[in-house]
Amino acid sequence: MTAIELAGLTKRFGDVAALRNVDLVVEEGEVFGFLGPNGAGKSTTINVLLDFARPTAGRAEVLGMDAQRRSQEVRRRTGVLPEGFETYDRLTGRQHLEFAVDSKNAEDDPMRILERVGIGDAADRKVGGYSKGMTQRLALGMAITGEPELLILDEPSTGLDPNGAREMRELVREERDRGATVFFSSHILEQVEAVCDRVGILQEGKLVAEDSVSGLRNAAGTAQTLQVAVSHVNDELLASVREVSGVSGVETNGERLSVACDPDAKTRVLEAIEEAGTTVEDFSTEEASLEELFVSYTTDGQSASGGSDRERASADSDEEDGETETGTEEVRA
Amino acid sequence: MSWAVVARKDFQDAIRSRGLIGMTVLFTLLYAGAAYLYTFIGTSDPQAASILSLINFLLLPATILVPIVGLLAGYRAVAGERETGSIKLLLGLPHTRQDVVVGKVLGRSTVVTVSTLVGFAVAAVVAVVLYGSFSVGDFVFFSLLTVVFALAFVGIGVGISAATGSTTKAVIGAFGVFGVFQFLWGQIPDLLNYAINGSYGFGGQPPEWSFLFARLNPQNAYRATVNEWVVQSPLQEAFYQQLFGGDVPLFLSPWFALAVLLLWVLVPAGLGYLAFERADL
Repeated sequence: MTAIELAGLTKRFGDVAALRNVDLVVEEGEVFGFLGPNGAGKSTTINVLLDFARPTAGRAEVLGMDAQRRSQEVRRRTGVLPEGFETYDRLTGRQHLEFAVDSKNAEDDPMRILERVGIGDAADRKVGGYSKGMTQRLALGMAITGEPELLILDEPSTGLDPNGAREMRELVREERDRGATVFFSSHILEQVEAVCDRVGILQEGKLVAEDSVSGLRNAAGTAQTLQVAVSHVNDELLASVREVSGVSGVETNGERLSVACDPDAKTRVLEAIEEAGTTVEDFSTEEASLEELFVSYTTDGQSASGGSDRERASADSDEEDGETETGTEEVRA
Repeated sequence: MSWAVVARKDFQDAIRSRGLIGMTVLFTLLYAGAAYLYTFIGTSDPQAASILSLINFLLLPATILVPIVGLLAGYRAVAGERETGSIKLLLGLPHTRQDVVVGKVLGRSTVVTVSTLVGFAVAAVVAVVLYGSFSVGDFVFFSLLTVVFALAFVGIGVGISAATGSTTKAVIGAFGVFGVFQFLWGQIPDLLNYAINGSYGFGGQPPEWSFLFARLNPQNAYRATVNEWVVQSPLQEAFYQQLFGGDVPLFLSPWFALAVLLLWVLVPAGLGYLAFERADL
């Protein structure tokens, strides 16, 4: 059985299309990472799954049930960690958990769950005094209450420190081992890489890729940028670097070059710079940012700024720090 | 019972709200103060002060203040949760939106009931100590009718709250409703008459429907139930007898007035639910 199935899902807010014809299948028992930059439509998708929002067109099914018509049944069998939620500041952590237990008709001991998510000490404190991370843990605890078949976690590492994020990933694995399906949205590549079996990438309301995590890693590996500090920059230098095979884009920032290229082109780039009569003072390699990775998926091998033929998963962005907007505009140009 | 879980959570939460606690304290002081004050200004002899005359004395402030309590308790109920985003935590759990509205009406109603009864209980203590006689039955009956009156405004408040996603709009709506009942309602029949016939005022006896319309205002309905059932003033009855020639219409009965109050609990909350059901959160 499929845990989640989206068919032609479209959601418009006035003139703005938040989701455009999204098709997606999440199988039971997998940890599915739903990746995309902020504003890509991840939360809108989740809102439709939970019937917080209604589709403009298409449909969403959760655990084989229509997400709109049978929403209560869906949510009875689903644990939800929403994004941008707020807790009831005047109630304690324990009261929140009791509310979740009562709401789901579950048997869980609230204290055990609070301990599991690491806030047992704060059980009887009012949640208004919790830190962002503690609030996130509390909501995660409410989500796993009642051993749901499906967990929908929207940006679960929000507000967590690195240690908290690691504990959250461990908890996700435990839940998967128990047999739960986990649908997990994030804009942070590492989060998704560390814990997911498969990923879907959403950008500007469109699902641009569905891939295994190893496929994602390959794509990430090839989408590197080479940072080179040089003695001086001129057009001649830029032209000769662009001619190097495997280079997809060059950007300058003062006396720094930022070269998007295949990993095996790095040495050739450095040689080309030296040959142009410029001294390489320092260089480093940067992993592709998520945005660059998105671009490498979205452009699907279409050349945008470089000129050389590239593989499907090669980098297109020549953005140094991978700002989404600039990166995508570059591709569209 | 999903709505019961929502109602209990909502009561737990709202009862801890400083605003509501402050409101309860304020109204307790007000009712108890009125009971005390009445021994000075309402009558020359405290021993002769009766509970019925105290109720008469309390009726006017209660008619104005209780709606404010009800609206204040209700207006944030749903809109507040939508504004902060706690609605996502609430609806992430297996509750329907209907459970949410029903639970909110019940939760806030309980808060207002507790708040009103605390105020009246303290006033009763003052009356027992200072007054020569105290009729428990009359005072309890008056308190219960006041609670029903308060619930009508909780229903209106929660209904407005459910129909809008913003507490700013909800509070404007709540004050608007209060203004209509408090200041405008009595003028509406005259205005309608003016719009239709071009003459202001009915000149002579107002038509029967204007009495019905007046009775649909929950404030008037509340006063009618208290006057008819608790105070049992013969004047009101005599007035109607004279006006309608012994054949007083059914809609002027206290039962009709009670039904009006109950409809004000249910209808606005129901309409608010319909809007909330359709909304994207």
